[in-house]
Amino acid sequence: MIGAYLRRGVAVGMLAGILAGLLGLAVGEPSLDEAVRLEAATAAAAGDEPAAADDSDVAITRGQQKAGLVAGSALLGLAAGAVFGLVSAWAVGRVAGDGWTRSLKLGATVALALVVLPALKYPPNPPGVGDPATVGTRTTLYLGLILLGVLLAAAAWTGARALASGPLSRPARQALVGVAVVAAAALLLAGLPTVADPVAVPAELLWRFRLGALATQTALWTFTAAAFGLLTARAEQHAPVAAAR
Amino acid sequence: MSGRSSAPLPVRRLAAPTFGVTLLAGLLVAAVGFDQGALAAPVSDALRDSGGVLHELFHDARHLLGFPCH
Repeated sequence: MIGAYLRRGVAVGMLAGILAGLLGLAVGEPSLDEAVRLEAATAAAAGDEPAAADDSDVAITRGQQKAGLVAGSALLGLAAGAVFGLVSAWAVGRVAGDGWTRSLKLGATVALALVVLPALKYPPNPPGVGDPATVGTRTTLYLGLILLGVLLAAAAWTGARALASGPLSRPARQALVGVAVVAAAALLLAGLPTVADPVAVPAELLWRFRLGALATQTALWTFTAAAFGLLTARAEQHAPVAAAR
Repeated sequence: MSGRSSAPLPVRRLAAPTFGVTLLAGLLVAAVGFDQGALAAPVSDALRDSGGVLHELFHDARHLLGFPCH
């Protein structure tokens, strides 16, 4: 069964990555192109060489970077799908519901921990925002918040399981866990260091870029969860016994 | 109700797949999201010292997928 879940996850994830990449071309690239032009113009005005924004002398054109967007999200989708398949195999019999319901629950959890939570504290930025000198710190904070978000989800699941054997009703238990998760997330967001790098692009461009980035990431996880859920539910209907093995 | 009647897989049986998936996913995420040339080192030193062709190729993907980038 693990093999089937992993194969399904990898296939679905890669397809989701390609679709997210294509969506990114449509909704993200216009503002990204604008930001790249602005960055080059700012560098030229400051008397820097045009390549100052690039930290590399490898010649990659904008066209190749756009192809790289689709290829990169396909690869990332593949990795995400493999993990999704693995966790889904773990969730059988541990998370309530059929294949479709479990997949949607997992998808919503992942979207909250990997997209929404980091976006609230360390939102995606277009080129030209962010001091290259602080990229190490920003990467650590970003990954740290994602890790804390995943731990928070695991703690919520454990807590809900522990409460289930107690005297509380289901609405009371779910409200309790919900309040605890929101409070913990709020503490994390308030407590983690703020990134104070200057934002040198127009606010309107920044907003459009962030919406495009959110759309791209949401598409990746929505498609992964929905397609994985559909396929799993279908497999369970056709072979309920085999699905349990 | 087929999904509900399924018994959970023992965690022990998930150990080996977890190792493999972590390795694969870690490598892919590092290549797409974070590499600054280290992964190119086995190919050539020049490629590594250039800051990484992967960094440039996946530039747009990094920005739109939310990774911190230069």
